[in-house]
Amino acid sequence: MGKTINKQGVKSEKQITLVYSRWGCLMEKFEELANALADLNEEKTLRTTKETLEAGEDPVEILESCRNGITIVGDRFERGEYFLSELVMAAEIFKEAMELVRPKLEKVVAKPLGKIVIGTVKGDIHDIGKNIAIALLEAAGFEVHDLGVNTPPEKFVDAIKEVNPEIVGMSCLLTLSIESMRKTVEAIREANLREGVKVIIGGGRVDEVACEYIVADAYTDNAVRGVTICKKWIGGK
Amino acid sequence: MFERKTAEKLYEEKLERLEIATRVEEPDRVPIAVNTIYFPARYAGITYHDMFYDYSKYTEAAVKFAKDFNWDAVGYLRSFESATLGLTLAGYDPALAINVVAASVLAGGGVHDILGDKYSSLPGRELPENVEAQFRIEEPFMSADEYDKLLENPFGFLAETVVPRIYKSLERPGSPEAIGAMIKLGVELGKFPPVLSEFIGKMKQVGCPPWYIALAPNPLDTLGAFLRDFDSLMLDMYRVPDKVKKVCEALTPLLTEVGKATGKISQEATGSRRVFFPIWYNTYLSPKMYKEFHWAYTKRMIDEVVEAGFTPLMCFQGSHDHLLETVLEVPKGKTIAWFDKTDLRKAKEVIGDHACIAGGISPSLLIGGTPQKVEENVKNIMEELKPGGGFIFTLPFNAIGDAKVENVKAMTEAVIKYGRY
Repeated sequence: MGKTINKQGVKSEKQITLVYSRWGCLMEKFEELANALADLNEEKTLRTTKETLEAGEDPVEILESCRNGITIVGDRFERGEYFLSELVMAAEIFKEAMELVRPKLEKVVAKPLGKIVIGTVKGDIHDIGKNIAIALLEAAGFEVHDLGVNTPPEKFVDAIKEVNPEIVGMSCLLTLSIESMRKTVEAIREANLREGVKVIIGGGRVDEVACEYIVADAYTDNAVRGVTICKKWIGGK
Repeated sequence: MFERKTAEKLYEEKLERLEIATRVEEPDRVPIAVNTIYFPARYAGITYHDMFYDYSKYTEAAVKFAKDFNWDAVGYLRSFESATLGLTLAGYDPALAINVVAASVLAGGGVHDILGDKYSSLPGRELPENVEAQFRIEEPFMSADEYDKLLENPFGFLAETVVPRIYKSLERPGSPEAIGAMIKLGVELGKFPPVLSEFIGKMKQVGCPPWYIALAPNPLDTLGAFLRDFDSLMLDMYRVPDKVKKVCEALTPLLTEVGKATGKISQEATGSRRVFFPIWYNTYLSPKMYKEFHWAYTKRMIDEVVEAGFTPLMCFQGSHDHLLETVLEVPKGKTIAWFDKTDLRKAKEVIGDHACIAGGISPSLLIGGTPQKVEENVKNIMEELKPGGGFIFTLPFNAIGDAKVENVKAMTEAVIKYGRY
């Protein structure tokens, strides 16, 4: 290195070109990775992830590229170009890429965007919606604590005490869960924890009427929009 | 209150009202037809468990509800646990296959107890006695690597490999448990025709036709709901698209037969020609993927079922907004498009002249709303959907278990009040 830098520590013109071109190449590579994920090209995403890791590139940058890919997927979803199956596939590819990156990431302590406790409420055993929400929230940088399905109100209360999250997410597929979500919010309020958290409900059967009845802060039947709401809450803190 | 003759006349009138709406014409008023098993149970004061397990209480509840609410049709179907077992028999004895498929749909929880399937959680069994039944695959019953085996020898693979994975009682073929379960299932199936005809007879006495008792599962949903699972099948569509399509192709004629055969039973026993076509994956797929993996097969089934003289009742779960144009491909005036969360106004614009629309108000309004709000919403829907005919008022599939009685009453009254032509 010393050889290529002159006494003032300024790189020669040739060196600058080289550095820029390497940087340019790298940027291109990262962009390629983000686009491969966004286009749901599983093989290319995983191959590029491996190649950049093996080339010794910063795992945080690789993680960011994959997150950018997910952001593009979210935009396409919002524009009506992508549907749920594309979200599921993108989340799957993201998960696989993270399995490659994670071992290298361990030393880099990344501060999460925020903490979320999430679960499907008591009486409902469906986890499709919840799993997609979790994948997108994690891709967005949230630390997600998944309570699973058929989660009784007490379990939500205990998790809030333990994790101290900014946000609580309740998921459901069935209409019967509206009553169950109301009871859960009630339990959170009785434990004097309601003031400290924002509550978002998600699922095929939630709407404005349900949201008011449950006394939640937001509702969504759209995982991408749900993540946007959560980000806004965190940003507003 | 109901003289036998009047009840029969009432029954015929209701069938006819639904028929006229199906032809996209104007009956005397908009019909109201809903699938709900939990609300009648709560209304009649029995548990959800009884609704699944106690046939006479189930009938009493259905009769009481039908009498008091006087809807044009009610659906009381329960679960689908025996579908895969039935499918296994399709090549060997088609008539028996259909009886087995229909067994759990019509016979309730007994079949679940005998077979020990891993699909369902039922009230008073895996769930508390007043929690609605749920249907979900925890782990796929068939892996992505097994598509080839399924394609090579569908019935053999299903019978020998998949069935033992699904039904706990059949885990070890040839064991006393498995043989016992088969005998018990046979006994249960034997009870089912008289029980069904008694139920239908009682519903006729109170002038209440079924919304449907016949059903036609489609290939993609069958694969996703009974063999793989929701997520796995979505990934399969990207990773092994050709294999998924081949399985759908192979299932199409078999499932069409189920639709036609149950349609015939329905028509003969109840006078209703409607055949229930549940459609689940629509909401999750892009138009391109829906057309390739789902509609290509489902549409063929619909055409054939129409050809055989029946009325496909296409139940588009979730949102069908992005797929409305595809409905224009089915025969005109011969089907009902039952929507869940789709924008009904938009649907009327796009398919209103072509297919009868069935839809209504948000179920959460019946749970958390007030009678005034319910009436207002029904009025609005009627104003926009009623003109020109071809509209049936309904609600999403089994979605009003927790509804308030006064709200359901207000909804019924509002349909009668604002639904007149």
